[in-house]
Amino acid sequence: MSNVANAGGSRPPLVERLSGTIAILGGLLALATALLVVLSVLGRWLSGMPWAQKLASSVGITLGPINGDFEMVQMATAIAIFCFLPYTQARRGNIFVDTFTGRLGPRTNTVIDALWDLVYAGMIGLLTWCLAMGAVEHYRSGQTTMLLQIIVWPAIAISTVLLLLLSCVALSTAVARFRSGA
Amino acid sequence: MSGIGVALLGFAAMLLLIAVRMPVGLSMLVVGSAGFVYLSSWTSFLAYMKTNSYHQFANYTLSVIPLFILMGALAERSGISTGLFKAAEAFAGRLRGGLAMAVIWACTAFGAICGSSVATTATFGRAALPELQRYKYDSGFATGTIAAGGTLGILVPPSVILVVYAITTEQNIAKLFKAALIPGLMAALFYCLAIAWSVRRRPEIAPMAPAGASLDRFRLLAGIWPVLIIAFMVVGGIYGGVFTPTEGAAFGAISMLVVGVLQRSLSARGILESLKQTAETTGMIFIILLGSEVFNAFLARSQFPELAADWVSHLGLPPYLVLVSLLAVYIVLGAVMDELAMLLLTLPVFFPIVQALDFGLPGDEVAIWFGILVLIVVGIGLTAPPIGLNVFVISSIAKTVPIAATYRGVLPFIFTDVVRLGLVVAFPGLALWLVRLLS
Repeated sequence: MSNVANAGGSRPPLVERLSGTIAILGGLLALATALLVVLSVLGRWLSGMPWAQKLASSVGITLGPINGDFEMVQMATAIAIFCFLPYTQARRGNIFVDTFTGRLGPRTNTVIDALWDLVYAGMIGLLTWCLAMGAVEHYRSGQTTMLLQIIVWPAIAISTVLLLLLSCVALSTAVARFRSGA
Repeated sequence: MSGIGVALLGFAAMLLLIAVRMPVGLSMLVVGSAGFVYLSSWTSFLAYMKTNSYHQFANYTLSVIPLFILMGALAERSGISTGLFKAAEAFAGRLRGGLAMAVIWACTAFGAICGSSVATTATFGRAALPELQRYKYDSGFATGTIAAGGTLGILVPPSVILVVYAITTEQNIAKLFKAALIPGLMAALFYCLAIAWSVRRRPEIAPMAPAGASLDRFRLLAGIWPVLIIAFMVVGGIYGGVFTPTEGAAFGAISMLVVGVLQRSLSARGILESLKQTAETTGMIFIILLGSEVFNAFLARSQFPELAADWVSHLGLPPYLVLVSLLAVYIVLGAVMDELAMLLLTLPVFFPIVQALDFGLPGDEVAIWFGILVLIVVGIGLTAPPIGLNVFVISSIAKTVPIAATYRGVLPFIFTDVVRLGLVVAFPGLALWLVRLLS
């Protein structure tokens, strides 16, 4: 039932190629997050060992978990996931059920898929607009995270731009499907 | 219209949209939004959606999912599955059906690094299937074994499905991982029994492999010990409370990367490929998570989950009858639906029902136990006809094997899953013993 349909052989449009690059950036962000967490855990462990603490203080470092790692992980995870979404759509990797529509023939199915891509673009467009409002609100209030006092609005603004890209990718796959189905 | 009427209509509309190819996450998003607006108002919906998507993804507990997927993707690209299979083959290869058993044990070890059954099936489809075919194993028996072995990716902790269960029902991930270990190892053991039974009945499906030199075993083990240690540290660290699950996943991903680079099994290209694969799989999961969040916000406003739980608990049915019926619903749904979406859709209604029943266990133990039962039925759904995701994955790799042959091949394994489900229903201790011991 879950299928990953293949796009045609021709070079995909710019937004779809862009989504691949952004997916890799998101992946690197996820790796960086993992590294941050590992360093924080190491800091926590070593701070419990007197010899390590002595060694560290002799070079002027205080050992311990990274302050506010929790907040950085949350922010980075959100941005990484927003980086991933356009690529999933460009690869047509979203799960759908094709059990009941098999008899309609490939052409009809392509048109149906194009239609859902359009709905997706519209729905995500609405969410983009909502999130943009949220970003503006956070900008006005100047809300920061608890521990590190990182301002929140830039992360939401970046997420908004990535959602907008997702909407564009869905629009682009819709157009490609309408063309190949019609 | 009453809240219940709207909720039922919402479910029906969503299932209809899913049946006409609308992506599962999108249909939950669309129907959830429409229902939300109907039950409250545009203004409150817009206010709710303002930062909902951001705050849902900016969640420390959820960050464990991309990290576990990253760890699995790096493990997959570093070709560790081949090493695990060769090592298992060196030990089990001399038995009849030994190669198939080697697949099962290699999948079990891989399942301790990877939390996804699709990834496990795909990687062993590439690593083990050519070998099974080279020794002239019956093709349906070979693909069926790999499809069943793939479920060990989620049955053995870590497990993406359990993380999603834990987040939806607000349970402790580490406890669920502990509870999954014994049933997961039972699955591997039972799968080997299913293999032994199959080859005893029809020896021709599994020709004997030539004897391997016993010296080889230790050389093969030398190649895989770093990965076995990583798996042991990640799972053991989470069990022992040394790590939070997120920390364990981060540690696992970074150490897989380091080991892969040091062993020269991960090229720069391989790393980029694993990042892209992580992006695609994570994106797929999070769109469904976002959709289910909105759909559940709608359900909560209809008060359907509480009313349903209330109604069932006032029927006065025996708790075990209700439990078995719920599991039966899962088996039917799992046969025709995506398992992740199935859980996210049903848990808001089913979980309160289960919590309202009296099994003579504390509420949090019932929650953990039910999580393991759900995990077992999800495993069945992944392999059972007509729609078993693992079977589709292996069929896309083994294009010459008819899908019906693979379905015949998985039947003995599904049978042992049902037996295991019955055992864990009858003896909750199989899941809860380790949780009690380690807490």
